[in-house]
Amino acid sequence: MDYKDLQPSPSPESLPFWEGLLEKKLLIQQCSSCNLLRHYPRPMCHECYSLEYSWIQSKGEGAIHSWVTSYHPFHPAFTEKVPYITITADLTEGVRLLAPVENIESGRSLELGGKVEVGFNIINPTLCLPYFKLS
Amino acid sequence: MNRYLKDKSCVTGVGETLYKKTTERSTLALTLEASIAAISDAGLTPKDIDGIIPYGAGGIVAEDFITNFGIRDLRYSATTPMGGASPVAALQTAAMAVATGVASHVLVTLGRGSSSGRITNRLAQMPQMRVVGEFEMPLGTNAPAQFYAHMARRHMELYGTTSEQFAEIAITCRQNALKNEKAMMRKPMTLSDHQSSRMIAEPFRLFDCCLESTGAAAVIVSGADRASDLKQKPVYISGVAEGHPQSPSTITQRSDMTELGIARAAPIALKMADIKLDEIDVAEIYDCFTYIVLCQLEDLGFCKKGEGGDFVSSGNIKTDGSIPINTHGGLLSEAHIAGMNHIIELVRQLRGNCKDRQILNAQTGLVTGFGDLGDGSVAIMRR
Repeated sequence: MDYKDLQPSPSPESLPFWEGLLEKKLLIQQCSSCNLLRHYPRPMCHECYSLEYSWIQSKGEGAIHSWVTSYHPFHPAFTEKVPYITITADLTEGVRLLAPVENIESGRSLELGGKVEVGFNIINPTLCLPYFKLS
Repeated sequence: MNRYLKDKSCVTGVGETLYKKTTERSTLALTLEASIAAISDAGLTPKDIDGIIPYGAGGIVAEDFITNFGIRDLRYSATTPMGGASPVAALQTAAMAVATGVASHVLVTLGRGSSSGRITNRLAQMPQMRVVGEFEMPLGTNAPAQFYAHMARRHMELYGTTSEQFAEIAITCRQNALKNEKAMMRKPMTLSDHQSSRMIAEPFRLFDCCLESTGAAAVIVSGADRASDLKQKPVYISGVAEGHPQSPSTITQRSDMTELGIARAAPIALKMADIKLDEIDVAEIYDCFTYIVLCQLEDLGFCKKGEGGDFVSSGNIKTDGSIPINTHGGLLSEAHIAGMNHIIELVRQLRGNCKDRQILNAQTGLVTGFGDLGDGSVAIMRR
């Protein structure tokens, strides 16, 4: 798969997230001042404006919030994959994660609230992406 | 509630190029042609323009107009980088400029040349797409059809909204386009045509998606005190607002992904104009995708959240319905000029210049913009 122009360029705030994925860990940013979790990674807590944060490891469990089945590949990296299904899930920690779901024939079996688990798919030595499997 | 801008400004001129699938001409040449048409429609000359709001994402800047128009003393320039919500948001900015006397005649314009490259790459260059570019595009969500399909799917699952109801919107736009000689799509569309069109990003089929077009469009916003001296009957901007959704940079993290920024803008614009929705005679609703129309009708308050499907399938949006929409055919069937064509259509409806597709006795109308993952804008205009 050709990812050349899709390879993320991490910011100082998001680098630990991407490095965590390479170690098969899904990390969520946590405010050091008020403990609020936030995703996607960013500099500031939107509740208390603290710029200090740490990371917790997600259990990788979630429930389906929505999904889309892509038939038209909008990028060459996905030409061989269509049709594929991408899920947005509410993780048990309270933030959402978008990822493709693997080993599924069609979207007809999906429903809001359906349980999913996170897996890890090494794309290249510097990129690992999460995926969902139905649990 | 701020009513300062109510009826302080008018759209005094409109103009556009031909709308086509591709063009050999530059975006700047198209934009200048449409701008000159709008200036001439108002009875002004290019040197009368003292404020300019070009489309933020179009690569055209105020300097281009100073150079090509020979403007000696440009007083005001701005951009409203909100994707398809930009043109109507620009009306608010232009209204502020002329109401305060900073400028007299503001040109708001937008052009689209032949696109070079994939939409994914075009989006990735926009700073407001930085977050989805890093966290969502690598995972296979690369284009608006896919971003917005997430919202549409959630709406369908929560409220039972159907693809056939989306089709009502596409078919309505097409019926209206048949009466519009400028429209790119001039063949009738049936429910069966819609349902057999190929799937793009389910639930969106091809006929749920807007056109890709080239062309340009422009409007002139003048102070109400100047408008009576000009060539056309003025169309007043009575209420105008922009609104941004929670989690504006990514839909997936939005607490309620079935609510758009326009839900915040609509009550402000309606109160400013001091009118109720049932006084609106015609509405030009931004229609990059069918579902986005349905969601905006709910967020504007024409029906409750979740009732948009029934609302559109009960005939309300047809030309003889309670709120006729997209009388020109919209982005779905006229052309994708990022909603500048919606503003022009509303002005022409309120001037009474729309011939076969004229909504009889249209006195008050509404135009919306939508873009950049959920930003919204709305203007209420009257003749």
